[in-house]
Amino acid sequence: MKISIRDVGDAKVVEVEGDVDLGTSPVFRRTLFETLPGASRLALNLAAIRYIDSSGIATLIEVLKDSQRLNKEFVLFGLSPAVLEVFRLTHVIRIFQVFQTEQEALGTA
Amino acid sequence: MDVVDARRSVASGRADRHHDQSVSCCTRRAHLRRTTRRHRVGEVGAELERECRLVVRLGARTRVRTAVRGAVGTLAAVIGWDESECRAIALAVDEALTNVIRHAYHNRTDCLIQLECRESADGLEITLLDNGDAPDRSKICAREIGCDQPGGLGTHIIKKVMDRVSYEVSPEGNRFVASKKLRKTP
Repeated sequence: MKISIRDVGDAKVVEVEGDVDLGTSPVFRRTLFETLPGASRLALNLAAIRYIDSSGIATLIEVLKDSQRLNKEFVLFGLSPAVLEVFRLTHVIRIFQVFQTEQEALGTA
Repeated sequence: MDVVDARRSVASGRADRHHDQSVSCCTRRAHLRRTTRRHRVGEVGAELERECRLVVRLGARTRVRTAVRGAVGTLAAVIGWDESECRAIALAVDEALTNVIRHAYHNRTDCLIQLECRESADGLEITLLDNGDAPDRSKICAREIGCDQPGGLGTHIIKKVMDRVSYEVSPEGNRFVASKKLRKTP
């Protein structure tokens, strides 16, 4: 799994590539929790995720709840087919703000 | 280490250092020559048999999980599921493995899990054997699905992907069995 972070105005865009599973989700979780406080909006690009399991979904839910506690925005965009399938299986898509493009996720479209 | 030996190792609860992550895969692809070989740690191999069957013996580590997911997905494809369903089946097997590692073995890495996936008369049957703590039935699918609570999603995923799921305690250890029917489109 590869993670990169870049600043876009007051927002931060986190790009994730590869597999998010039991082995990699601790790094995924730590990165998101460390990045969240420094941005008004954290946009997570899920387009290059080949695989995500329940530990990855649990991390997304945890970050969402922390963003609400910190009064930040946590949004997702570019969901890959693999991610969409797991969201469908777990019925969690309705609790997230999901966009197709980065511009939409950042509100600049 | 053959399957019987592996079962004995599972019953003893220990991962053989030299065989703890061996993977063997059997498919019925006609063009494959019959081969039999022993696999070293982390290797994936194939041999031809009449039935589609995958037997994996792995330690409670996560590093070969990608290979296991790939092998399970390939087996599902050979049996006849489409790409999306193959991904879902591989995910369900991975979630079952995660449950064993986290809840039966409490993340210990010196333990053995045996995974067997085989083509049944009407689809696929998956069996997992371990010698860790027995599953807590009160926690299986205990949370509400679709809510904003993290954790406990794995058993829901398994239940949604597979048609039948059972958790048993046997003399060989804990036995997880799940099956899925292949519904052929007319």
